Amino acid sequence: MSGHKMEFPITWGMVIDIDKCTGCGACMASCQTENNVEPQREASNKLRATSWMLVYELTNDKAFPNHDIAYLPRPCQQCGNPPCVSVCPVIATDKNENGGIVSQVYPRCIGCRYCVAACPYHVRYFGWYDPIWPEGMEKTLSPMTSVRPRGVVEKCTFCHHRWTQAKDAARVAGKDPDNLDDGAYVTSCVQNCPSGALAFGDIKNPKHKVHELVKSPYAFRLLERLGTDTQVYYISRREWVRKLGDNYLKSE
Amino acid sequence: MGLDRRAFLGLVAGGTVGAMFTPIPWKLIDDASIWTQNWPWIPRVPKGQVDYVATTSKLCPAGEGLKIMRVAGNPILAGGNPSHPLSCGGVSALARSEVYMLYSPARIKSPMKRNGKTFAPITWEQALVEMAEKLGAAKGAVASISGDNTGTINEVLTALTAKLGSAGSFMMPSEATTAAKAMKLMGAQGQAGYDFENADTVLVLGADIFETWGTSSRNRKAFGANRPAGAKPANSYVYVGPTRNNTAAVCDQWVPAAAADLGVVALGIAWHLLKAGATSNAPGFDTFKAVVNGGFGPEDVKRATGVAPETLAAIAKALASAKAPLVVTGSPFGQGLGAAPVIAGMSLNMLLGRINKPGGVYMLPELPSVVPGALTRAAMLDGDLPAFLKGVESGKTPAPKALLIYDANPAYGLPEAATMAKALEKIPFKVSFSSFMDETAALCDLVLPNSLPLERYDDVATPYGSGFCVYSLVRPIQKPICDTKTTGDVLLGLARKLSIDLKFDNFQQVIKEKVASLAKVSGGFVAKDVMPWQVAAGKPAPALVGGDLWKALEAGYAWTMVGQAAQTSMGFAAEVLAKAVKAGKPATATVLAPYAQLRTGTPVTGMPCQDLTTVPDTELLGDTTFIRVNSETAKALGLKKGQMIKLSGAGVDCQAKVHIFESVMPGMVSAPLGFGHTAFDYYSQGKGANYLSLAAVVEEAGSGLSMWIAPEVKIA
Amino acid sequence: MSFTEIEKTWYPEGVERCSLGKFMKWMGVLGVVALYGFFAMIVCFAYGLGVTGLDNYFGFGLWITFDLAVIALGAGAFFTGLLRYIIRIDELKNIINLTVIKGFICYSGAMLILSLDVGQPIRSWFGYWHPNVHSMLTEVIFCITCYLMVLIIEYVPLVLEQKQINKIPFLHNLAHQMHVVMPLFAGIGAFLSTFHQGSLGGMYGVMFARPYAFRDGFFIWPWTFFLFVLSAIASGPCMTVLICGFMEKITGRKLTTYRVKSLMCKIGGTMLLIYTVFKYLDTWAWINDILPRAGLTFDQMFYGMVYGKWLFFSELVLCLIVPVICLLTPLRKKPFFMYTGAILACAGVVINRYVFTVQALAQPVLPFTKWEIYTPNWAEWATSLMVIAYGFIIMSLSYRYLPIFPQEVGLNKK
Ligand SMILES: Nc1nc2c(c(=O)[nH]1)N[C@H]1C(S)=C(S)[C@@H](COP(=O)(O)OP(=O)(O)OC[C@H]3O[C@@H](n4cnc5c(=O)[nH]c(N)nc54)[C@H](O)[C@@H]3O)O[C@H]1N2
Ligand SMILES: Nc1nc2c(c(=O)[nH]1)N[C@H]1C(S)=C(S)[C@@H](COP(=O)(O)OP(=O)(O)OC[C@H]3O[C@@H](n4cnc5c(=O)[nH]c(N)nc54)[C@H](O)[C@@H]3O)O[C@H]1N2
Ligand code: SF4
Ligand code: SF4
Ligand code: SF4
Ligand code: SF4
Ligand code: SF4
Ligand SMILES: [Mo]
Repeated sequence: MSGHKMEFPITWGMVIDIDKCTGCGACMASCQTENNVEPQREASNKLRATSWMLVYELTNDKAFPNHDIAYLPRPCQQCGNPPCVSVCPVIATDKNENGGIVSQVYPRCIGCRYCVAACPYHVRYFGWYDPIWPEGMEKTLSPMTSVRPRGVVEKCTFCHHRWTQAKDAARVAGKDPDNLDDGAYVTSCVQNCPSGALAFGDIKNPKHKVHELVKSPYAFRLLERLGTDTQVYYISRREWVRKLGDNYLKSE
Repeated sequence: MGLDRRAFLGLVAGGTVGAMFTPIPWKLIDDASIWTQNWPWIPRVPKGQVDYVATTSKLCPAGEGLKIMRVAGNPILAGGNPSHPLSCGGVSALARSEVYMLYSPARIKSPMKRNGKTFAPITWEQALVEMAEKLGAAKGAVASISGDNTGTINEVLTALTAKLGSAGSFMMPSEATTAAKAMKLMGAQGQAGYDFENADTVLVLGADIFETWGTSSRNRKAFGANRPAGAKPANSYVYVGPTRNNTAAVCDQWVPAAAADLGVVALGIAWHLLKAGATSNAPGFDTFKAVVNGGFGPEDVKRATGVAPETLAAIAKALASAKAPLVVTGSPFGQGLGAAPVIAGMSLNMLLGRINKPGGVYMLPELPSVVPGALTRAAMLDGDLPAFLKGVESGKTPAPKALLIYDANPAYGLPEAATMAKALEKIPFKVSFSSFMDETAALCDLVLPNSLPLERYDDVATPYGSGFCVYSLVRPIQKPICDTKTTGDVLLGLARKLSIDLKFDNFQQVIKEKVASLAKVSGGFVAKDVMPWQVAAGKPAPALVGGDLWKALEAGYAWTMVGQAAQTSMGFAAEVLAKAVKAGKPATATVLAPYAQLRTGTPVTGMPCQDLTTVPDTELLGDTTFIRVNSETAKALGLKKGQMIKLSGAGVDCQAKVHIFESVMPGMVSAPLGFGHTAFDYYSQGKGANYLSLAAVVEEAGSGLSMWIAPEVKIA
Repeated sequence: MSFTEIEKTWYPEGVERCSLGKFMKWMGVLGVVALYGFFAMIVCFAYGLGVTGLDNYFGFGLWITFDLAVIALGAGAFFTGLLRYIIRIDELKNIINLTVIKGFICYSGAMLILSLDVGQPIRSWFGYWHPNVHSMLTEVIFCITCYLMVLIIEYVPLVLEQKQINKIPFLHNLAHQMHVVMPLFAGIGAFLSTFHQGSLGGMYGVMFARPYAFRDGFFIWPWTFFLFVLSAIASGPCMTVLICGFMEKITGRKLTTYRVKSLMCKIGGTMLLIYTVFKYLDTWAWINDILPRAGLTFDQMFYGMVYGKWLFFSELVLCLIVPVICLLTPLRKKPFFMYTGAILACAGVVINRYVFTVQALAQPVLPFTKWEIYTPNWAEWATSLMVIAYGFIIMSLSYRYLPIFPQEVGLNKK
């Protein structure tokens, strides 16, 4: 395994309860608007559409009536050992900050798409065209995230701006910004999921719910054996779902 | 002085080298990163003071309370309101769209009048004059359609229609219309409300409770709250329906059964409950028992529906042994169900003793009405719009001379589209109060754009499915962006012009009065620290401090009440069941099993532009939508993955591609609704087909209700 | 003197060239292709890369394949330079000029395509300004740009040796001086080129979450680093021979002796044999170690026709074993086998660069995703063809006016 694992005292993590996700797409819609992703007219071409959060449909590949499905929402996994970071020729993406969020610095990115190739989770999206909002709709842009020009790569940031806001709020309230209360910083998708399927917090902070959740016997991560050491955990009581999180040989 | 070549070259070279030692080129080159981020055509993000205000989603039928982030007073983002009982922080993809739909390219920017095949903008004054004249002439034969199930606007609309001489005030058909019909036939009072929060074992018959049915965001929060991640769930849900839809995907069990057979399955479970000794004092119990025992034994049900006897027995056992079982019945696609299956499902609740019990079904009273002469919600829900329009089409019913259409898109959102279009054509004067250029507005003579929910006063009163009475406020947090008006104000203005007294001058007064009337309802309280389901479970309801109610509502809190309408004669309506529910032979034809999702919007909103991205490519690819069949059906019909096919029904043809999806019952063709718009903008228009148009409407035996729960389709 | 006659005075000493009219027609055809590609390039710059067939699965596509192939095939330049100037295989002087021009064309063409391929060409220099020393791509950016400069330095004296230009004493001397220091540049070129050929391979080998491409390695270099170097220096000389043969075919003139070409092919063949050994070892380790570790099997690396196993066998058998036999046995004496071997060797490298670029990305690593198909569109083809046309133009001009084949006069004496 290449690369190297990075550890930070604060490790923001998402825990996704697949057994509660109905696949409604509200998390995707939340993310798009929170992060100024333009409404895409040709969004049904999934190889071109930008969706920092993407809900996959999983199946157990059996025929009716033994068929089963599950939905798997996929933000950036914020890999502890990110395959995408070491490859970037210009350090436009990095994992250098407490919290372990893999950054993406748009004004730095040259758009070579090497990181896109390196990320096995299809998390990274390239700006194929300049973003266009229907007339007037740019008034609804969020001031928290910059608008990307075409030609750069973008991805889920764990709504990094919300962390900044939460730290500011903590400072104002005279609290420790490096020891936020559980729930003081949650991402847009987590906050808005109508099923409560998503949880967010500092995996290393025992006061945070996710600290316990990641230890569940039903918890798993995507492609764990590749050594990406992701900060997003999935939970399912269904074994077939857990098995779909990674590749296994027949003998395993 | 001459400059020879050497000197010139020297100067150029020296100058270049010299400049390299100044910061200028380096600064310029470094600025490249900033220019390339800030091309003039890349929109700048707005700047200004950030604040949050509360309102309620009106575009989303689930009625979530919203927290709107604003920058310099402009709405930016719609998030769920954690202190609102129908949101608890959650928000659907549709409710999330409230903000950016303000700038939807499909918005109607000013009042418009038909001019041959096109529209010409007119002023509001001209519009009012025109409408007053036409409606005055149409007196005695004015009909109205509302697509708003929850707003006090209906009081204004129905009162005005009545004063103009009503030819009928209709609600667009939905789960609420079906359920109201069922309750009426059962002799029940009030609107059925389902207390998911306190239920521990839930049998879902057809209803897509976690996607489109009722208060879906709240339903999901209730479901999730008792299912801690990775731990043993504290509740159990069984879904019965033709496909493993969004709801079934998270339920503990999916029992495949045709939507046409939901009543049979319910009565099959009743058979087990009765056998185990369940009984009831409610009127009609003996007949009910005879009906069930006479034709709904395990083998009857298996023959008719394919549901195994042991499956049925296990469900019955689970319900009977549960502390707080609950049965909820609905259409897998939110409409078209007959009344009988709802009655059959409700019978189970009665056998289980679940009426007006925590975790059961509350028969919720209607909130007081404030506009004199208005129809009650129950009366409005009693109308049968598809039947009415079919009558108009065939000439059996005289066509109204004028039709007022509020927040509804019957030209798109009704079954048997071809018939309905013909009926609408027969109505000489039609006014649409739509906010968007939808299919119906495109047919109308006058289009008087309603301001969007973020621009107007409005309200949401007890959406169907809510387990408690609930009222929340929709309030303008932004001046109308286009030349639109709140329809309530327009209707009241029109009334004035026609010298009709509706008691109010503007719609805000109506809402204020409504709120004032709520303050007087005993048992009502503002859900803040105590939520209504906690009150249902026994926690004392906090007192309501009357004067503060408006303020509390403005702050985004909901008025709620855990209550029940007094029941005098709620019975089994067994005669209806006997006629309408038959454990017959399974259908041999190919049956359409539509499904609906909030992310594709409602007939009124069209596809919310940001939500197009959330639609998977197994549903829409390019401009073609997919139908889903399992491999067995595909084989039987000779269909291949990705094949282009034509579906026909009710005199309409639709294109589709084939997606093989095993979680569809054999013989069923599952099809997404919400596509195939011919109006709206480029996010909706021409994207796929409207499969609802294929559904033929039939009359339900025993109830006479229009239904289209299991339309047959032909495939070529 | 008419222009036609003046034009004749620009030819190298003692050679014959086709008529100016014919030449202009040939250039016209190439010009049309190049202009079409140029139009596509403007469209790409104006509207963004959305006009290509690339997408978020295939961030790398035809362009990168093209670049990698061209850079590998262009490797004849550095390797031949190394052998000629450092190892001092004197006979190679008869073909060294051709390899330099080929190298120049390949690298400048690749740079052109690269500037198109990055989403923000105005920021291309960030690779120097904000370099990430851990990225193989940084190394590629550094080495390719530096090596292109070396190639320019190697190409310039050839231009200066043009009959008329060479008459200017200053330029004559400059050319001479540059020739004297050429071994130095050959050395620098060899160093740079080895590194970026390797880094290009390294780029794929380090993608540890892409099991199709990932390889273990030595120190910071994955095995693909060395394999790319070897395959480049194996195919580079073969490519030179093919170009030379092609030019002879087109012009109907002998440009070098068969001996020289045969020597080049022998060198290429030898390298190919070494490459074959390592490539087989690497493949064995990939199948038996890398893939099982990732929970994947050999069979899962292939799909349908475009990603079929036929590519694998073509690359590893048809384009390795067969050319090794053709090029390293007495068969080489027969032009048919020599050229077949050279063609296969080059084809094998192109396949190799293609599968590493496209198939590596198409292979679904997440178990719940599926193989996706990539089809380059007109914009990518047109610009790639533009570079090929550009190469033909440079080569045609060079052949017509520059004395690049020392043996040409002797070989074509009547
Ligand atoms: N909430 C929030 N706050 C932020 C940031 C954030 O992301 N979120 N980002 C921070 C960052 S990175 C920055 S750089 C700052 C930017 O903050 P500001 O420096 O305030 O940037 P602007 O508002 O873009 O520009 C200031 C004013 O300069 C005017 N102006 C433009 N050109 C000229 C000129 O040639 N001469 C003069 N005199 N005036 C001119 C513009 O019209 C504008 O009114 O904001 C910081 N504050
Ligand atoms: N349309 C538009 N474009 C603009 C501007 C504008 O006003 N309008 N302003 C311009 C200006 S002045 C600026 S400065 C740029 C800003 O442009 P960007 O730098 O792109 O700004 P952000 O989107 O705020 O942050 C970029 C990334 O940094 C990550 N990040 C935040 N904090 C940290 C940290 O501490 N460490 C690490 N590793 N990552 C972090 C975030 O998650 C995010 O992914 O945008 C420029 N572009
Ligand atoms: S919002 Fe929640 S339930 Fe809906 S798709 Fe996303 S994670 Fe799943
Ligand atoms: S998921 Fe992809 S983009 Fe995110 S950190 Fe990991 S490799 Fe990078
Ligand atoms: S596309 Fe941007 S972020 Fe990705 S590797 Fe290239 S420069 Fe870095
Ligand atoms: S964490 Fe934020 S940026 Fe990431 S998917 Fe969720 S909403 Fe989008
Ligand atoms: S754009 Fe500004 S902040 Fe970003 S890399 Fe360049 S100089 Fe640094
Ligand atoms: Mo800035």
